[in-house]
Amino acid sequence: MPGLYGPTITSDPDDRGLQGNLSLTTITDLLQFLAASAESGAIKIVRHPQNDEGMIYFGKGQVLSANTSERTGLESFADMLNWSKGSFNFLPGITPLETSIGLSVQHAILEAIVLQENLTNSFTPNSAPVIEKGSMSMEQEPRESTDVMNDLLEISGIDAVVVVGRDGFVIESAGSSARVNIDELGASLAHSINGIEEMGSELNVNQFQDMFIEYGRAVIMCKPVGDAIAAIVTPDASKLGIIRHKTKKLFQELGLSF
Amino acid sequence: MPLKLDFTLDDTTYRHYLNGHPVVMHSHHYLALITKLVEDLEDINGPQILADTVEDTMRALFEDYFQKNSITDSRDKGMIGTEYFSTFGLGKMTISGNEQSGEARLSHSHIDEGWLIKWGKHHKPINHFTRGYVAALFAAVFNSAPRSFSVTETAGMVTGEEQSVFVVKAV
Amino acid sequence: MTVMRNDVVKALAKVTVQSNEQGLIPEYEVLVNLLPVSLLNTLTERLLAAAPDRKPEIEAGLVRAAYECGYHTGCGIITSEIFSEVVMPMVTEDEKDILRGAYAAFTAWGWAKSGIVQLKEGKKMIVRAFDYYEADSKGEGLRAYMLQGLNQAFFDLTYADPYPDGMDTFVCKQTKGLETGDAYGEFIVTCK
Repeated sequence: MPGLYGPTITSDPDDRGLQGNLSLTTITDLLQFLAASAESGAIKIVRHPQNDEGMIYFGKGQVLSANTSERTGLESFADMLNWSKGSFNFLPGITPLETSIGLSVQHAILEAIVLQENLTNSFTPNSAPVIEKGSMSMEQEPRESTDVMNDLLEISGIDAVVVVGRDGFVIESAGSSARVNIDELGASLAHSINGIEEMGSELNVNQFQDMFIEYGRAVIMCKPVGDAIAAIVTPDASKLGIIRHKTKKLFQELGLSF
Repeated sequence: MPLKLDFTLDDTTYRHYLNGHPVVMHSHHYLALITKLVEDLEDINGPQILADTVEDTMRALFEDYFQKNSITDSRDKGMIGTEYFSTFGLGKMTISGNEQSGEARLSHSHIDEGWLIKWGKHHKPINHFTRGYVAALFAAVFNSAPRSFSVTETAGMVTGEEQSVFVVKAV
Repeated sequence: MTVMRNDVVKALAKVTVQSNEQGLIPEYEVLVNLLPVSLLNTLTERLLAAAPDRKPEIEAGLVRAAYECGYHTGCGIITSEIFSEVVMPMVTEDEKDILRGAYAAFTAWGWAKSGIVQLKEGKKMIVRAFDYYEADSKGEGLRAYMLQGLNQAFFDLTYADPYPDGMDTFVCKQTKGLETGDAYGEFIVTCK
């Protein structure tokens, strides 16, 4: 994890805790590190400039509970994952009064993202993708799709990214994966997604939003980007939660190109 | 000795090959407009640029075929050249002559018939493409250097003649 | 279901054109020719080299030749028996799918390994090509004249007035090219 023992997070010798700045790391990275270190305790987060406060409790690799001043449980956890500016302190040994989440770190991140997306979709049906302020200003020209795809490849665990037209035309690909043939993936994805969309249409459950396919040697995650489909290839499902979180804005940005 | 045709496809790029050379389909509209373009560039010798380009590229293709198939007889070479002409969809050609002079006739011509379909009759022959083709074929048949033969279209279907005729002279 | 490009490409790539006893290839309502790509590229190079000051005129002529070829032949292709057999059963999104089928045909018949990246029906289309013969030509700047003409022709055929009245409704501009070192050729078709 880059920078964990650098200037972004520091260890305080008095309380044995870690502290740092959210502009230089993310809560998901921090949680994954602490879970991997078998740490237990709480992360106290202060969002800037609002000075909102929140707590995430975890132990034995699980997110146990979370709360902010406005929400509790998974909703508050989902909310805090989007805090990109602020500071945090790790408070070792702190336990929650009750367990309101109780999911592994990966699973909790995944559920939080699903919750966020459901909330977003219920408030902004059929709307254009919302790009958060700070990721791309309204005045800026959209970035080239190649640049966005290269950013996707920078995310740990992603081997390859491919954008495919609805007819299976491989519009663009980046990275490489020995696990799959990108051209064949394009044709197969288009077939699968078209079938899934037909099913969604017949069931009247709105548009296809994403799909995960787990094979023995690869996991493929697909999302619509504009009129096309983007897919990422990752070796296994262990990082899917964090990948899903980190790819969200980039997929939205990619959608502007297709 | 009939022309051997080996059509292949590169299934990565989907380029098509004829006897190892990449080829592409176009229609009579394309060649009619290319012919018109070079006519419009008469002041920079556009028609001759087209004829010379055809001579050079076709010559290379003929020589490659003759070498790969050990063709040395001039009659065989001539026959292969005219069969290639038809394989390209350019029409039906017959040739006669020797190292000094000769003639080529087209009983069917993609370029002339295409022009007629598109624009109707014209006041002068326009088949600069075939002038280059005939120059390449004569030079290949008689093992001559490029531009060894001058080719003049003396009759053209576009002017209302039944056949197009090309007179060949050693330069 | 929509037009599945790979299926179309594989089916159409098997189609070969052969001349008749007159040495002509009457197909798709036109006379087809089959020429070495080196001839076409060399001609472009030599014409441009002969009159560099008349580059715009020569480029426009080359695009026009491809455009009219694409417009008339394209109409013959999308109304042909083979297109009806292979592509039409997959068409569920009308014009959009016919265009997808057309680009699969572009690929199968060796004009360009290309496809649609973005399509705003009747307004704008972005096409990318990952292989095309003009990329082999020598010269300076973007020079996929044939593809510019073909892209414009197919958008006209699909979204302008019905054939033959829809000519010159849209225009195509090349924005990237393999021949200038880009990873792909990119073409944007918009209203004139």
